[in-house]
Amino acid sequence: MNAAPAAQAVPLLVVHDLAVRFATDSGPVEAVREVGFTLERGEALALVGESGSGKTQSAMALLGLLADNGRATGTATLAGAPLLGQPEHVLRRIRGARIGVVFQDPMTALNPYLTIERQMTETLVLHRSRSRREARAEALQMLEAVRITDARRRLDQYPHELSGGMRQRVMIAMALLPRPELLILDEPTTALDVTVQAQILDLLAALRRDLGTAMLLITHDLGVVAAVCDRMLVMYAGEGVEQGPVAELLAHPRHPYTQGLLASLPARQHGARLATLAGQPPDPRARPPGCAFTPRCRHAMAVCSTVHPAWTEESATRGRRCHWQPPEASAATGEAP
Amino acid sequence: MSAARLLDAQDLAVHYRIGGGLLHRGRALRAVEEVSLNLAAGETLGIVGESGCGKSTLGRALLGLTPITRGRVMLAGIDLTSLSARALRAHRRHAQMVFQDPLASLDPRMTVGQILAEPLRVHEPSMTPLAVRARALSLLERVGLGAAALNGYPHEFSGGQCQRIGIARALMLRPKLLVCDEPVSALDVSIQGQIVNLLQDLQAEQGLGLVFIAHDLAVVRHISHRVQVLYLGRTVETGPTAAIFAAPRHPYTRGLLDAVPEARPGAPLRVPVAGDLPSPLDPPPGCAFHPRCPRAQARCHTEAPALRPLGADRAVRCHFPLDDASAA
Ligand SMILES: Nc1ncnc2c1ncn2[C@@H]1O[C@H](COP(=O)(O)OP(=O)(O)OP(=O)(O)O)[C@@H](O)[C@H]1O
Ligand SMILES: [Mg+2]
Repeated sequence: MNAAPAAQAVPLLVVHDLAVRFATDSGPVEAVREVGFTLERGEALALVGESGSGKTQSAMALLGLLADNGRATGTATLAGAPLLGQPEHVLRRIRGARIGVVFQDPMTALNPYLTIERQMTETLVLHRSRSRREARAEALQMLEAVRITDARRRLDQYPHELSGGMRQRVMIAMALLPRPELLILDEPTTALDVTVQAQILDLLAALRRDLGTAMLLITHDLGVVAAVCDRMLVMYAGEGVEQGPVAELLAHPRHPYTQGLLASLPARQHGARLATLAGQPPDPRARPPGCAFTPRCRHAMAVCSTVHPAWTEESATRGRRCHWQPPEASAATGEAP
Repeated sequence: MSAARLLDAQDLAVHYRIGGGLLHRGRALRAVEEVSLNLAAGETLGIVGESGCGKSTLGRALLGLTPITRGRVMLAGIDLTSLSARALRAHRRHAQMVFQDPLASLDPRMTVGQILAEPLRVHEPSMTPLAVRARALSLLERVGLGAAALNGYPHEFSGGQCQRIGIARALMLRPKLLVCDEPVSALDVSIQGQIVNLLQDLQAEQGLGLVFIAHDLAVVRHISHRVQVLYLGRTVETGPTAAIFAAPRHPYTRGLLDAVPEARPGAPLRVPVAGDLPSPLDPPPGCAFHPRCPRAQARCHTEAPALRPLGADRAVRCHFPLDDASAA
């Protein structure tokens, strides 16, 4: 234990009761509500859920990057200091130095008219008073860290000259340049082919090992979660519904949605017909009063359509939002059979 | 090449001209090269490979939607390349396409009823509006949407519902063949299964032939009877689904299978294929896969392998195919 004990005790990121509301022509949309989680230093947490479940907007709220019609409430702290609701100049500094961000589509995040070197070094030169030469050296070193082939030559190329996988490596290198404590990755491999995705996942695992950067990884792919993350929070219709260590959740899901999601993965099935979750998520403008999953839930009871279930910590490592109690056999959390 | 085959493509090539202008002809991008395939009624052929490997071009060429540079496509016994533009349009009714992005493939200004009626307006102009409506209604019912959907507009439906509408539209002409180009890639897993089951049911009921283009190997494995793997426009391996998944013979097929991260605790993370797909404008000499191949030897750098049969129903394009035992 060489770091100061006080700093050890405070988790890197604590999010409590996060909600995101958008004002729209057809009324208010509650995209995220009652979301809470904790991320320790060096840990990797996955936000998992289907399209529209609020994964991206949760992250945008933390970064202060919500669209103009959006508003976030709740609390979030980074290493104990408030994050949510901070003025823009404070958030900009945090985004530039302490939290790195990688989005799904590197092409939209990169400036097509600037060389890779310019994109990577601009902030180092402007905000960190590095000389051009120092900044170039740092950029080169980081490109090598993300295992880009021919790194020196890449510095002088433009984004369109790189493949999708290489552009995503550049994005990761850029996000890592200021040595952030936290890396937020929003579907970083969704646009890539499986062969290249495997390379990027391997890189992320190595970066965690070598740099100890904490990661908040947003994805709908449970295979990606298993490859990179320690813990996961499953989201449905804007809410967290189940949380716990990845290995435990994949082996013993306790929320009916997590169970249904896992059961519907084609890779896990061998029968003639695919098991499916009937129906679809609710329209965020017309959320049912009780549990949002009720209409699709095979364990739904009367109470589920009237009373919104509260988040319950079920053990030291797992939490759930559900009225239904799984039978004891599967309630033994985590222990492999 | 028997007449009973619904679809039979021989030595198909589709080249695009890139660049070029007044003074020079530009370069040929060989999107599809030397591809042969066939399909019987009631059968599903899965086409897999990385983006840019020519899957979509192949799908469009099979329907006569893109000009063929070489080879021929027999659809329901008729050679598409022998048809006049007009005859081709008429013949195309036997084969319909289902697209990846369900919402983008539906005209946003039309109601679902109009969208479904559109193909009949062209191909069966003599059908009465009442008969058209009846067919639209029965298909909407069949794909799990009610009559109420008829008057809705595409943006009022979810991604999964739009894909059901796209399937209903494809079936309005009672085709014999559906070419599905990444039909579930844009959908959430919980919805994917609903669409895959629907396609399988329709196939069983109507004896449809399906060409199922996808990059998701788990879905392809589930729905396909046979699989054809493409790399840079060429077939590198083909055979019965179960055999290919149990023991791939081409190192690229093996790599594709191993690269998929498993949603299983403790599943190993593997990086079986290094590097990126080379540019199809500038394919590597010899075997196109050799720069990424863990088994490449000197011969692979210079000599392009031919597609060689392996037993009755499999073929592989590799100088040094994996053997059954090592892949098991
Ligand atoms: N500016 C906005 N105005 C109104 N609604 C919005 C706005 N931005 C997002 N939303 C809504 O917020 C909800 C959550 O969206 P979010 O992007 O967080 O989902 P997601 O889980 O990231 O989904 P995906 O997997 O598709 O990226 C959606 O219903 C979306 O339509
Ligand atoms: Mg998102």
